[in-house]
Amino acid sequence: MSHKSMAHRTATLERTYAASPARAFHAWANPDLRRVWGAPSDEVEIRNDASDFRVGGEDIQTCLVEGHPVATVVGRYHDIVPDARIIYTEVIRDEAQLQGMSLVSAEFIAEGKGTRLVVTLQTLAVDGSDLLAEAELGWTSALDRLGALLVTA
Amino acid sequence: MPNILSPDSNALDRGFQALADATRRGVIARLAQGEASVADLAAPYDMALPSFLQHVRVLEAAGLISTVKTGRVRTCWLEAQRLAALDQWIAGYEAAWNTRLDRLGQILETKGDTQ
Repeated sequence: MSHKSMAHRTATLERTYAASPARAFHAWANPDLRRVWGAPSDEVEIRNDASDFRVGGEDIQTCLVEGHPVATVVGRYHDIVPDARIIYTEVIRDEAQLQGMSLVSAEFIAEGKGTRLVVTLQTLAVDGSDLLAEAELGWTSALDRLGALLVTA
Repeated sequence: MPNILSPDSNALDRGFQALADATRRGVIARLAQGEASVADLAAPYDMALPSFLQHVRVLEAAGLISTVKTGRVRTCWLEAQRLAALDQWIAGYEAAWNTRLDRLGQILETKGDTQ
């Protein structure tokens, strides 16, 4: 299978927390706290293999499902403004190949006693046989039905 | 890259024109099962290979399929399927971030109001 398809998308997520920007920022800066809230789903446990929260520093996390590694995430911090802004990239690979990467820009905005958190994700997904094998499961049957429809039309 | 899902109406026109042909719809249906060589795709049709290749070119120009030639074999795949799979990966990634930010909110709530 050749590797030439890519998809890009930008999404902005917003939350308002009762905690101060300093506390919200601390939860990002502290690797132990980040391990707790940073799992991509309840089934996935995060193992911190390296943590270095400073500009140029690298985080390496392994995603474990029932103890088995399913993906590694390598993050690099590009800009840190305490209690205000974190800009970093994360690169996601499974054991075989690159799956995708994202430029993550987090803004911590004081709002009353709380914090409005604005996270912008600029994400690239690249094709690879394993990724497509998984993702295609959900699409193949729909496309089969479409194909059958088109043939009989 | 042209895409039938694009709001660009020219791309839509090309997509619909490409599908306005039984042979080309057959190729799409076959590629929905997985990638295939031009020779395999052409086998069910009583058609000279150069004529069949014209159909492949129309589908490729419409962005519905992509092809790559390796040696003497030209392999074709359904581009819409790949793009849909990649979009799904990004949707999953964004959903994971939504989960994270909700969990972060729970942590911030349960840990008192001082750092």
